[in-house]
Amino acid sequence: MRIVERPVAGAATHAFVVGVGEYPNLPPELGPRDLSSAAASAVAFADWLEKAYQNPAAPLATLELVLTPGAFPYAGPPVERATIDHIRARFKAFFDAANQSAHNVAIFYFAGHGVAESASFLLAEDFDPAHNQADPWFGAFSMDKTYLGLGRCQAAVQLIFVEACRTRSPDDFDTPGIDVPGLASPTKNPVQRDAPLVFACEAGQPAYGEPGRPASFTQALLHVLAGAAAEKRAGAWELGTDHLARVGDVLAVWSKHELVPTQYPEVTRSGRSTPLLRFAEPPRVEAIVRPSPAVASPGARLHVEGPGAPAGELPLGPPARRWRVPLVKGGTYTFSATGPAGEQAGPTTEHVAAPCQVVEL
Amino acid sequence: MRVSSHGLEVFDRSLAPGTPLAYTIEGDALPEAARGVVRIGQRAELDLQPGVYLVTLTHPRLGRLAKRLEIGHDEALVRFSEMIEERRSRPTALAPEGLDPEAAAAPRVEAWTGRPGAWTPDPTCPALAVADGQICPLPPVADWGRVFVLRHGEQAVAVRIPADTPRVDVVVSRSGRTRLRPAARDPQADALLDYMVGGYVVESATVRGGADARQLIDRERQSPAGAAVGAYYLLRTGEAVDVLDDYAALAHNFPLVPDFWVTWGWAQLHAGRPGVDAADAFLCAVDTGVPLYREGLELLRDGIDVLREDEATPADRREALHAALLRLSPLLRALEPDCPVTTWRCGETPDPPSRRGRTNPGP
Repeated sequence: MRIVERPVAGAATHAFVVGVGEYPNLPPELGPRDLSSAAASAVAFADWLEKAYQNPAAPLATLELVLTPGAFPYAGPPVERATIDHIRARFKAFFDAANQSAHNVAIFYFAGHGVAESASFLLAEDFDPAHNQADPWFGAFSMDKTYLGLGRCQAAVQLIFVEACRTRSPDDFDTPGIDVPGLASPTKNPVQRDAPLVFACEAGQPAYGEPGRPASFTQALLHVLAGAAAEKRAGAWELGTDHLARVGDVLAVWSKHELVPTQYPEVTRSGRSTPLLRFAEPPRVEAIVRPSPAVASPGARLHVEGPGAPAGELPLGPPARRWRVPLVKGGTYTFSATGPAGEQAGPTTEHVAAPCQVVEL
Repeated sequence: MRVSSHGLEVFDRSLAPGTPLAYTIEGDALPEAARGVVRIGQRAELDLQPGVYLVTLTHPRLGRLAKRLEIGHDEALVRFSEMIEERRSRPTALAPEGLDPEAAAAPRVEAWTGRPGAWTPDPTCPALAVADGQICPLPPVADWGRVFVLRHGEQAVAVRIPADTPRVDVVVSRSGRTRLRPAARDPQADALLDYMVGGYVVESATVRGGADARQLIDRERQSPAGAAVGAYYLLRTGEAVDVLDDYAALAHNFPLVPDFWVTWGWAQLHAGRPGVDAADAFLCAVDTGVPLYREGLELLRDGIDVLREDEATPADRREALHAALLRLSPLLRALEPDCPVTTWRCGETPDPPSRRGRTNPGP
């Protein structure tokens, strides 16, 4: 369903978001049937596109969304469920819209189950090998062929995000053949395009998420797209396609400090740097402050001084292991903490840089 | 695994009683994570208030497993299969039973050799002290052709380094990730490769993109591996068509290097040349062997996919491409994603013995 349609003169951005929050007939070997985290991720990404996407060179013109909410309480406009037929139909509408001009930007985002074999395959809601014995992989599509097929689309900037596991199917499962189709046919004459393909995790690895909340990768991606990885270029804060790799840095820092399970996104097929988003303000950064044992107790308070520090003192947790401090901009900050019984830690002075940084107190 | 407010018990019939497992229990009701070692069949005494906890076990065979649990006054029984396998589970999964899992937290890199289930520290390769953002050359060992497990803290990389690799670097990014990088005798190529696969390593700051890539291609004789990196880079940026003759020269000067057949095939496609020529280049690549770089193997798959579905490709080539893709599939399936050069996950045997020769039949 096209949930956004705005008149845009000239170059525009066209987006297609898929969220599969439930797989009624998924074989248990391939993962849980309830995947409300994927629905939450897709809705969060679509929400960001609709409300916060700031690309002055190509504003958002259309946004297609297909969504199987599952247990996620979706309250947006009515949309089609994420069956393979609906995904194909809406992909075609997205492709046709983006294909109108070489100056367009095309954004494809998928959240759901995935399998990595000789290539990466993504699963629609009606993936049901038990009842499709003649074509067990009906309901799946090849992400790699879809990528090659997007080479037919005139849009010179294409962003493809895949929030899905890339684990292998069990050895006794009928593995996908080489003939599983993509959403578009590969072309031998692709357009010249800057088209990074960003997977939430490496091949063979799972992607993590908690039920009902956007998954780790999508959280980190939205953090980056909100400007956390932006750089000042030609007098303006700008985020380009080359900055998308920073999503890996964000996830690595978060996971290193046990905010999310460890996973490494994979940014493939990128090699250029095309300006994408512009921000009026410097990027917001985040300091993750780990307290020394002396003050690591509920009731401890953190005081921060610096150019973009929050006012007042910040209480510890939950969880009681760290403070997450949003800072208006990067710079040199001084951190000090007071424990519940007056114990002191710090002051510690650190230069905090985007997108996020850990401070040991 | 049985968890209650009093303690943690772990059962596993496949492991000998007494096998140590490291555990970590975290939750808002705990000021800091509870850590310790519980042995199979024995109980670790704990005092947990009712609440939500994340229980992580480092299991010698299954790796690192985690489960979020609500612990009330009743005990919770959890099967290992219900636990999430965490990334970087391989160090202890591959290490011999009885290894102290807590030792994995040591901030150093150490090499282990052997095979899954029978790993031993490599005496020829002393442990390396490393820090974030560093690149350290691994001391040379007797035979790079073996499989190594590189451990750094709780991370590990299991990789088979090609036997003729001149040097292997351990790369620790500022975000704490550890990778192995077989060096191509050329710092410029190494930096460009780092930029292509991650973009976050210190040396990559010096990368000049296309200019570097062109220089690498020009220095093909000194470093064919570096030239391959340059060729892959220009394919990504769409600049390959500007130096098409160089791509042809690479393929014909180094006919036994499959990477150059792959890059030549794709350069022809980018230039809009007939698909049949590219198909022949891809078929040459498959017959020559396995590309040195992972990027090459994936590009080979993509190139074959493009042409075998193209109606303009002659029927005999489509048939040959189909057969080639079937041969490549097990190799692609077993690719180790951590390593930019083509290597397989530990324990995989993707290429069973075959009578088919691995010599280049020529174009």
